[in-house]
Amino acid sequence: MSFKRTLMSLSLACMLGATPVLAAQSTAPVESQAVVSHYADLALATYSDALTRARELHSAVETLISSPSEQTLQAARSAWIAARVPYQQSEAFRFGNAIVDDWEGRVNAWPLDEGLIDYVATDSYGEESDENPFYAANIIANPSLEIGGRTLDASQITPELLSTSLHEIDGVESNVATGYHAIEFLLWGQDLNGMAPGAGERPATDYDTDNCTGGHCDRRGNYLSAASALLVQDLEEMVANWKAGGAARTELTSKPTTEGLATITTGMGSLAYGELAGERTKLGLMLHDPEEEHDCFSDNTHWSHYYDAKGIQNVYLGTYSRIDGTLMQGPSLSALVASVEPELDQNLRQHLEQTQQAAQAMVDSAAAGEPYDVMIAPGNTAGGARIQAFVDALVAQTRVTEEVIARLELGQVNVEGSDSLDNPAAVQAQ
Amino acid sequence: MHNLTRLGQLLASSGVLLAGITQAAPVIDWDAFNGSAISQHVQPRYQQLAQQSQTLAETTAHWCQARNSDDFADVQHAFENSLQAWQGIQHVQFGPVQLLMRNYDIQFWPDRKGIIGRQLNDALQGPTAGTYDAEFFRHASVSIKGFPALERLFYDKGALQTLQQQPNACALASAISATLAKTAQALYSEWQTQSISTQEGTDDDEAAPSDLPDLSLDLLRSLVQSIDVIRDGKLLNVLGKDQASARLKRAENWRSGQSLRSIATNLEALQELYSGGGVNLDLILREQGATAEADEIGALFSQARSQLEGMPDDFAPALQNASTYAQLRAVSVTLKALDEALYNAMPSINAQLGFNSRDGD
Repeated sequence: MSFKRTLMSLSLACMLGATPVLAAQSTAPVESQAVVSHYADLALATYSDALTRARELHSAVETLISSPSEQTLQAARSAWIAARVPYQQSEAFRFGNAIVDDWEGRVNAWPLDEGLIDYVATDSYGEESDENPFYAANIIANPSLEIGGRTLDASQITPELLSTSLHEIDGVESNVATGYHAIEFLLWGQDLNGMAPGAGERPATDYDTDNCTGGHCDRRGNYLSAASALLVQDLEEMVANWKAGGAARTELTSKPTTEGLATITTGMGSLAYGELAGERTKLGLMLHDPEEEHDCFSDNTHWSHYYDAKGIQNVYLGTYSRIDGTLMQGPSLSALVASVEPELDQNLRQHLEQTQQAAQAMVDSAAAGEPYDVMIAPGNTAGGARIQAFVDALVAQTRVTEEVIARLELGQVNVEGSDSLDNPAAVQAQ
Repeated sequence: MHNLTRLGQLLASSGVLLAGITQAAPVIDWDAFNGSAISQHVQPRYQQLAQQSQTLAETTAHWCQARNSDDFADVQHAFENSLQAWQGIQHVQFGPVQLLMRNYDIQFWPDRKGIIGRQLNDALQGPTAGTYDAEFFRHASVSIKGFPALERLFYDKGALQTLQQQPNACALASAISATLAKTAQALYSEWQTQSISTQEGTDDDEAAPSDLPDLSLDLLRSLVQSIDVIRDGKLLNVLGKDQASARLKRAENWRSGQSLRSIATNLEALQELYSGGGVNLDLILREQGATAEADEIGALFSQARSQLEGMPDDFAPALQNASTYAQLRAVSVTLKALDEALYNAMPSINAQLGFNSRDGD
C-alpha cells in the first residue's frame, strides 16, 4: 500500500511538472513517450530471457528426476543460477507496475518456511512458529495433512496443488510453495553450514527412487517438476503481458506519459530502498542469521543482489545485455534527465555505478571463499562493512532518484498546495 | 488505475488554483517547529524511556538475586512501564536511535521467521552461553538485545520457572535490561547535547529534494508514516479477513498482553507530535490556510483514541468477542482516514516525503 501511495505522489509530481518539461522538449532529442515505450521493450526482453532460462531449468530438472546423479543435480543447479541472471534484472519492473507486483509473489516469494515443503533439520530450524501453523508441514512426506482443524489432500502433487492450495496457505506469506526459492530449496536443501562457507548439500539420491534418501523421493520429484513447470507458465504469462497488446504494456502506455515516467522511478526507488537495501540486505546484517539471505540454500545471494541493482541501472540508462550477448539500447530516462539538468543525470549515473561496484565487491568476496552468509557473521567486521557499503550505496542512490523526481516537477511546486489533488485514497481503494 | 486518470483530468484546472495559494501562504518557520518538537516531545519521551529502563534494569537485577515467585510481578510491571515508554517514542526512527542501528537493538519486530526464539535458545544454551558482557552484545544479533527477547524471558510459558531454575536465563535477562537502560540513557543524552541545527535525521550525505530542513522532514515522516505502520502491521495483520482468521501471535507484544495498550500509547504520542505544545503541524497547517485539513486530522486522532478507550490492554480477549473485534475494525477504518488526511495535508506545506523503508514490502 505504501508503494501505491508513492506511485501516486510521484505520478502527480511528474504529471504536474510535465507540461513545461514536455513543452521544452518539443525540440529535444528525447521524447518522454519513447522513453516509456523503450522501457516496455526492455521489460519484454528481460522477461523473455528469464523465460528461456526457466525452460532450460525445467529441462534440467526433468533430467535430474529421470536420471538422478551428482552430474544431473549439478546441471540443474547451474541452470537455476543462470535463470536468476535475467530474472533478477527484471525486478526493476516490479514496483510501479501493478500487474507485475501482484504476480511476483508466485515466482520470487521470500523468505520461506521451507519446512512446509520437505524435511528440515529441526535442531536449527525448530518445529513451530508463532506465525505459521504449516511451519513444518512437510508436504512431500504427508499426502494428507490435518492442521488447525483443516484437512488438506496432497496425495497428488500437481502444479494446481502448489499454486492454488499450498502457496501462501492459511494466509501466511512465508508459506512459499512455488517459485525460484522453492525450487532452490529442492535443489540444494538447507544450508547447514551456519555462518561457515558452504551451501546446501542435498544429495542427488533424494530423487533416486531406487536408492532413496530423505524419503518419498517420488513425491519430491513430483514436487520439483511441478514447481519448475509452474515457473515456466508464470513467466510465459508475464512475457505475454509485455508483448504488443499485452496487459502490462497496455496499462503502462495508456497512462499519461509522465505517469509512465513515474512508474519507472517508482520501480527504481522502491526496489533499491525498501526492498533490496532494507528487507533483503540490512536485515541480514543486523540479525547475523544464515537464513536471512535471499538465496540462502544456494549461497547465490551476491549474484542475485548484483543483478537486482543492475536491473535498476538498466532501466535508468535504457540498456540491457541480453543472454545471447546482444545489447539493447534506446531512449532513456537518463537522456531525458540530462536534457533538463545534465549534472543531476551525471550524479545518478555515478551513484548507480557506485552501487554496482559495491555489489561487485560482494561478488568478489564470494568468489574468494567468503559468501554472503559468512560476511554477515557476528564479528566479521570487514565482511559486514562490504555489505553495509552496498546498503549505503543503495540508500544514496535512492536519494538522488528522489531528486530526479523532484526535478521533473520543475516550476510546479506550488501546485502541490492544491491538496485536493493529492488523494492517495483513490489509489488505495483499488 | 482509473483513479489516476481521474486525477489527471483534475490537473487541467490546477493552474487556476495556484496563484491564490502561493500569494497567501506565509513562510513556515521550520526551525521553530523543530525546536518545539525536540524540546517538548522527543527529549521528554527519551527521558521517560531512560528512566523506566533504568528501573527495569534495577528491578530485574534485584529480583534475580532471590528469584522469589511472590514479587516476580514487580519485574513484569517494570517491563511493561519500560515497554510503554518505548511505544511512546517508537515512531522516531531517525537521529541518534539510527546510529549503530539502535532502533533495531531496542526492538526487532516483526519476527516473521521465529529468529528471536532460535537465537535466544542459542544464547542460553549454545557454546557461548553464560557470558553476557559488552563484547557479547557487541556481536550479538539484534533479535536478542531488546524488548522482544525480554518479553519472551518474562512471559513465555514457564518463564518464571526457567528464570528461577536456569541461571543463564536470569543472567541474560539482567544483561539485556541493563543494555537497554544504557542505550536509552545514551539516546536521551545525545538528543540533549546535539544542537538542533546539527541533528541529522538521515544517514547519508544527499540533500533532501525539498526545501524543508531534513529534521522537519524526518519529524513529518515519523508522524505520517507511523499511522500506516500501526494500521497495517499492528492491527490489520492481526485482525485478518474476519474474526475466524484473526491471528493473535502476529500482534506486537502479545506475550505480555500489551498489544492494544501499545497502540493506544502510539496514538497518544503521535497526536502530541501533531498538535502538542509550541509550534506544531496543526498550527502550521492553520497558518497555511489548511484549516479544514487540520480540523479533520485532529478529529480523526481523537476518534481513533476514543474508539480504543475501554478496550483491554491485551489483544486476545478483544479477538474473542465479536463486538470488540468489530470495534477494532472501526479503529482501522479511522486510521485509514487519518493516514489519508495526513498525506492530503502534505502538499499544503510543500512536503514531499519521498520513498520510505516500507516501500517494496
